[in-house]
Amino acid sequence: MKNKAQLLIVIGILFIFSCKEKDKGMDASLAFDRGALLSSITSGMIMPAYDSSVFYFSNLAQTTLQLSQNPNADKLLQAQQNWKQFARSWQYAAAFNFGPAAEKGIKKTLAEEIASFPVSSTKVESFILANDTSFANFDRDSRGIFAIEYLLFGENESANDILAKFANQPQRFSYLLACSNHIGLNLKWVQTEWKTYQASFVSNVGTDIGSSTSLLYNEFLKYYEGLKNFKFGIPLGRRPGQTTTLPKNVEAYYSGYSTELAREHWRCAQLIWEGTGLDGKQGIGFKAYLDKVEGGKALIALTQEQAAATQAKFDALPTGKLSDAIQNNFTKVDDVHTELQKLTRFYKSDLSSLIGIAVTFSSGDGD
Amino acid sequence: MFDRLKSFLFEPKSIAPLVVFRIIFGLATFISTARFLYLGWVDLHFVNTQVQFKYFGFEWVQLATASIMYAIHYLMLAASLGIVFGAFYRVSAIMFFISFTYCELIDITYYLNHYYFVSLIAFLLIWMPANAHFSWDAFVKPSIRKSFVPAFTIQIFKFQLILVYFFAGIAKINYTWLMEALPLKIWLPANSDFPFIGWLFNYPLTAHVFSWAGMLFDISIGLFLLLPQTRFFAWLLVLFFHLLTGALFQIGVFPLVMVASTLIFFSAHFHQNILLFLNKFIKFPFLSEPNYADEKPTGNLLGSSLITGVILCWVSFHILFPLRYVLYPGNLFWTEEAYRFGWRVMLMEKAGTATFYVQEKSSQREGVVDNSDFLNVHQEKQMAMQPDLILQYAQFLKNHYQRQGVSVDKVSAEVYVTLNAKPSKLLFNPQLNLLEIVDSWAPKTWLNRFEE
Repeated sequence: MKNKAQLLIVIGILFIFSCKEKDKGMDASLAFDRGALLSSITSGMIMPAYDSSVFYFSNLAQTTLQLSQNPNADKLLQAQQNWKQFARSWQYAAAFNFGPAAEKGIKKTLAEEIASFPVSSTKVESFILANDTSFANFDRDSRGIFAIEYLLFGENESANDILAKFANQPQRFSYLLACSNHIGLNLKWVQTEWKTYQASFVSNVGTDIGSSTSLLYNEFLKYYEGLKNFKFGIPLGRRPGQTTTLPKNVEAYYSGYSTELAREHWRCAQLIWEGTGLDGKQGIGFKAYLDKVEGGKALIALTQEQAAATQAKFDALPTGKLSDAIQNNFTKVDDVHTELQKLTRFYKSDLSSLIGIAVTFSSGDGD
Repeated sequence: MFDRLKSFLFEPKSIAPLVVFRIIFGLATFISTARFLYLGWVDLHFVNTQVQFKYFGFEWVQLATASIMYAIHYLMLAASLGIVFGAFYRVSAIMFFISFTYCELIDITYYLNHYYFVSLIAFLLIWMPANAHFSWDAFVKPSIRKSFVPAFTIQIFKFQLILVYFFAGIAKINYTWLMEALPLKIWLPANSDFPFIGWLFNYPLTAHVFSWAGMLFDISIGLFLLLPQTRFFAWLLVLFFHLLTGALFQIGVFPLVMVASTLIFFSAHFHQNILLFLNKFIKFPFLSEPNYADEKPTGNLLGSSLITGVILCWVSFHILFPLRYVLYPGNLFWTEEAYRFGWRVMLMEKAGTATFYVQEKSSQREGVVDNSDFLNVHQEKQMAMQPDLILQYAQFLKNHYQRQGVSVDKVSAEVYVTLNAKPSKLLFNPQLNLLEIVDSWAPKTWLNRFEE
């Protein structure tokens, strides 16, 4: 008995020493601080993204109010400009569609509540006709950012046409302001909640389902696939059963600002992966995480190579409306979709597999 | 030889271990089913589902309506209690086995080895006289009371348990697991926030130690549980091992099932004391009282050659069936031919991205499928790396789009799979028309070879 105990102690000491020894020789750098990644992304991206979204939203809300009080071409133009800025800033906040932005009860995620597209002009018009600004329905394609866009830009209409529509239909302004109000309530609520949520978000450093890293990753992936599937795939007519392109289904069809927004969307996905903050400061992202894990360096190289190819296709997109490009310059737009498709696996299975993030609730095979 | 086997199987043994096992198993399935309901998995698995991936040969098993699926789960709860208390025991055991197995057969993407294990145990329990003692049935019908049962009614469960560990151990004897310490080198650092010892997980050495320890544990624990001298220590190891893996990995109720089931290895005396304790401190006035004053019957209980033969077949099948993988060429982890039903657990880190293309006949237009339109995250994850499920999904897509009025003449897929942190590779030629491939037991020659 005594001998056994001694043997155990000796083995124990040897084990500890071998650990110490290995510290120097063996690659001990598998240690990755997920807390640092979470705090870097939170302070460098999430908080600034929501803050700037709220900032640009407030500008938009202010000018739409002024427009309603004093409708003229200058005010309309200003509202349109402010809408574009807000829509750009929203692309970044949209990547972090979890935590306070997650689905709650009958309320969908923030992105679904305020940024569904394509918007249904028929529904918008019929709600305006009925002077119904309650939003007590599930027609999320009749409100939000892109309903405002439809009202402010019209479909190939001049400023005078648009102003005339407002003049002929006073409740059109009510609907516009109701949309703006609805966005404000939802967006500001999430922004405020993030301020309290961020501490618990940063401190939850596990990798199981529901952990912060897993939330961030899973939403990142959804966000990325959303770009590919909804902003390119469907408008390009690339779904099975689609027989034609659907140029009107692009995001921001009425403003013709789709290409710019898609570029921002793509850029934001890159920033999250690279770990770069919105201010351009280098922080910690999935790339830094990959650098520390088995097989990670190889995946970084492959990802960057494909991301560069994708970037090249984004750069080659024609200026002007994406909906026009889909009809006149199909190949150039389709190329972006193709390269995004090729990049998917590097973000999807390869990344989650290497860093061991849980993507589903269901139990695995136990041992 | 046959006679010696027969006398071993029919040697009279105290019924206590079988009774405790009955109680424990019933409790474990009760907890497991309650947890399943509590987590909302009935909705997730059986209600909010558009596609069900089928087991080969069980394609006829159909999903029932939501209310029936819920009813089946409540039935399972009731049947579990019936097993615990030995009440309407045979009916309870049959109901549990059928309803549990039915739920498992609905969708293979939820396949887990321990669900298969539970099905097997439930099936075996149907045939065992586990209600002949300390039970409601024996309370209301004293004529069925027994203190002794043939040895096989207890040994068969030990056999099943040893099988799980031993095959799990055998499966770990491969270069990647032992020499590269993969996938533990991925999984352990992902758990570096683990209390007290988490920091150790960042060292590759820890992954190596865990890999070897895991293999040695699985291979040898059955033997150490069998030997009376090592039994207690072995069970403590079982407890420690399962507590650790249970805390580390998302593996549900499996640790509970194993820790509880392995108590069956303990002596009859130990189990008698458990039952006496239960009877004394928690009064169950509706159960027959445990009583161990009976004389042990001399000689063997009425031995049956038929039963001996059946057991021999059962045991041979369960030893041979997991070994069928040797009949297939290629890398088992890559092709997953003969991977299931082989007690291969937590053995590899594998994931895939599967992009499906559906081609319309007249226009030859090819559409890209958004898998999330049809599959939940779990189903997509499982499908994207398992060749037989990929074929099923291709058939589903064809039928789905044909119902939409698209005449589909080809479904192909670009499937990239990463295995144990290696760069992802194409699982098969993306030009293949998956509709033309018929799944069978035959080797899947349409898959690319796995290259190291």
